[in-house]
Amino acid sequence: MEKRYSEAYEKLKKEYIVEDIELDLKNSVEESTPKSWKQAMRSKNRAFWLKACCDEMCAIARIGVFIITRDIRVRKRPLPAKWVFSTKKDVQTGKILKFKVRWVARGDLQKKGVDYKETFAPVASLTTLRILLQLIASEDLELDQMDVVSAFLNGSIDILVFLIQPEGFDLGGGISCLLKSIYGMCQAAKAWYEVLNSVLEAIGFKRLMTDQAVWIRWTRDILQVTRDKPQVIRDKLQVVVAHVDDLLMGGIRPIVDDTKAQLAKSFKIQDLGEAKVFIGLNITRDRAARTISLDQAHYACSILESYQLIDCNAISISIQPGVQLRRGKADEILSTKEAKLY
Amino acid sequence: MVGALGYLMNCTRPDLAFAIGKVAQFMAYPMMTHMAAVKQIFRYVKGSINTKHMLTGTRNNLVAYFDASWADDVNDSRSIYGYTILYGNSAMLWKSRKHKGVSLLRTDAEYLAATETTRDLC
Repeated sequence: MEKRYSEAYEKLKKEYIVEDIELDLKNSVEESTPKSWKQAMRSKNRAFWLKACCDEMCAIARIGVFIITRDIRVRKRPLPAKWVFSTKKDVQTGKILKFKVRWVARGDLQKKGVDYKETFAPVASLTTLRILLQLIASEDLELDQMDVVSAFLNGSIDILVFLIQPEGFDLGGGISCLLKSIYGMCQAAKAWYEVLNSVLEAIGFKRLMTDQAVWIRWTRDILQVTRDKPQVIRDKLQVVVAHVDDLLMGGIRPIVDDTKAQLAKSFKIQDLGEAKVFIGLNITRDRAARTISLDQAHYACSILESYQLIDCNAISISIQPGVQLRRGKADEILSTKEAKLY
Repeated sequence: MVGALGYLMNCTRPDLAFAIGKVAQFMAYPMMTHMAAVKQIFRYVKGSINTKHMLTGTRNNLVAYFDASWADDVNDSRSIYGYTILYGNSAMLWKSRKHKGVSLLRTDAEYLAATETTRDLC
């Protein structure tokens, strides 16, 4: 399958006259992100877009997301899908760092009960996260973060869904029959969560009853459990917190590395090393003092900016003590626009 | 704007809980004064942008603090209560809310606050 895509890629290269320039980001041109395949292929960055499309297709092929069927007995209408293009830019310079492309199903056209059943997927609650981070800080455990590449492509679906062929990639007609979930599908998040759960359970983790996106594992090293030091067992606790495709894991070094290796067998993962930013929370750690600090300076800045309050004068009280805010007609009503903003 | 502040408060900023609770009561018909109060919170956020929520402490003990005011709301005379739950010396959960009904006694307000706190503790 992958071979066929690379062949198709070569063909497309000729078709869109992509000079074999080195795919160096220096050669990229700044312009608005294309909204469709046609626009992307007209763009000056089409070499990059084409490469990114091919990479996405290869990822889909590697996981075996769909098989192509030409069976005319298939009566079900294939689900439309589209290319979604985006770029990752450097915050300061605004230069493009990465061209990202996804082949996305039109989940909005899926019918409940026909194309999908359940859609709920849990994420860890903030309170649980805080408690676990506190434990990790006080026990002085490692805290690592990793990211699953194209996570949703791993989720397996239990319902027959057909998808149209990727635009641009000529694979000789037919429609694709999905074996795994794909981005944009209603059940993708749930399908991914279930696969993650089964993989973690297979390597000995247990899901918490109280928070369904947290898994723990006790590794008992019998040699180290002595009568005078029964606490040794506690050091072997390992937790995994999942927020969709971001995984946070705490535990002692060899065990965390072992889990990473185990997970890498099932998914393509990107090891981000020590956790720095998780769901928008900056994690700063002082291991000597055994503390972890969380802050959202980035988020606070961005909301100040989006409401044009970044240049306001800072004050040190959030609300006047004893102030009474009244409802009713006492003062002027805000304009509709401002009321919406509120 | 209130929603954006609410998210900030929920994640890392317990100090904003009361102020946001106040302004969030006027979501349906916001007035000028309410907007001014919201902007004041934003100014406060700007002044304390580098505040960090620290997770510390080595003992695994659970402590909860709560307090309640009594009938101090001019609009409907309901009481406001707040609580925070500490685990090993760091705040894990915090809330500031208005009671559902009017409390006739100060003790009533306090007991109701205690009930709500223990409900979250369990």
